Amino acid sequence: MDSVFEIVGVLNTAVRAVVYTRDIDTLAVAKLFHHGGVVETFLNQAQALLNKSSFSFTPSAGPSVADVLVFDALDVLMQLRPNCLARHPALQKAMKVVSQIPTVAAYLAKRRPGDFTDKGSNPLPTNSA
Amino acid sequence: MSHKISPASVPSFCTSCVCVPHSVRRSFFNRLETIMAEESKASAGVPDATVFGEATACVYELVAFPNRGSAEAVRLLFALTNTPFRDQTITQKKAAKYKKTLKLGRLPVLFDDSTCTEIGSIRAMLQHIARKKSALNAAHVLWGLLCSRIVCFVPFPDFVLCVGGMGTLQRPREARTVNGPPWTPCSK
Repeated sequence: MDSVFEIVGVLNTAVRAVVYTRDIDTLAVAKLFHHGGVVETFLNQAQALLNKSSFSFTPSAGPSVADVLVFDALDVLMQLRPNCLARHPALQKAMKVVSQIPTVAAYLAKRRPGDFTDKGSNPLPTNSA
Repeated sequence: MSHKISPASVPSFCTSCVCVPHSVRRSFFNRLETIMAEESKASAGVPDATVFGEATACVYELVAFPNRGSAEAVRLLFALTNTPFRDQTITQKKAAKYKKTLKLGRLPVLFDDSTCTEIGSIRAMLQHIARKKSALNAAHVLWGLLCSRIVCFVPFPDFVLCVGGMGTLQRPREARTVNGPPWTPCSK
């Protein structure tokens, strides 16, 4: 689980420096998603951890804190770039499994929109998606 | 809510001797005191609350900024474990004042009323909820007990200081009230 905290922490530091600003810099967002950038590194590491079963996105095995952390990180990335998981089908599937847990699905349906989405108080520029 | 006193609510004074009937004066000052109390409460940074789940079963109170931020993982874990919690948001303007009322002075912060715990770190929040809800796997629980659980009991009669992981502080709930007295450890 410490590995998950570490990789999510690195990603969050980079992402929050970009998205939680008054005016989101589209160039900085593009740098995040650039080949070899922070996001790609995170996705590869998460994929590797998923293969090692460091965290299991399987409700039968019992969801863990690691599942929540990675799901949250992927959720932020999906809001910034909806197709960012196109090359990582395992992560995509894992996210789907967690979001289909009834209690999580109920929360996701009624939560506030993120402030850096097109519906939030600080909308993301449309040309960055 | 408007905190301005409308001209109509000010009692009319007698033009000759400036006397005001006692009942009118009392009601006016009562109203003034109410308004001042409301203003001081608002300026102290009392956050707005949203309750997820049954309000009566709420033992957790999460205070965070209105944006999703790092507290979203905690909200997701609450949802995953089907735990009711009170989600309170606080604006940046009020945050500075509100932080002074906290022992750790960090936001977001989680209060657990069942154990009188104030948690100021996301990692500690997640581990605290997971331990209580058994969402962690057995290995994680063992790891947590062996490595990250540092418990320090202070032999003071009125409070117990308990550090569970980084950024957790246990103390009576009364001590963090916004308008209450500042928290001071007993010197005895």
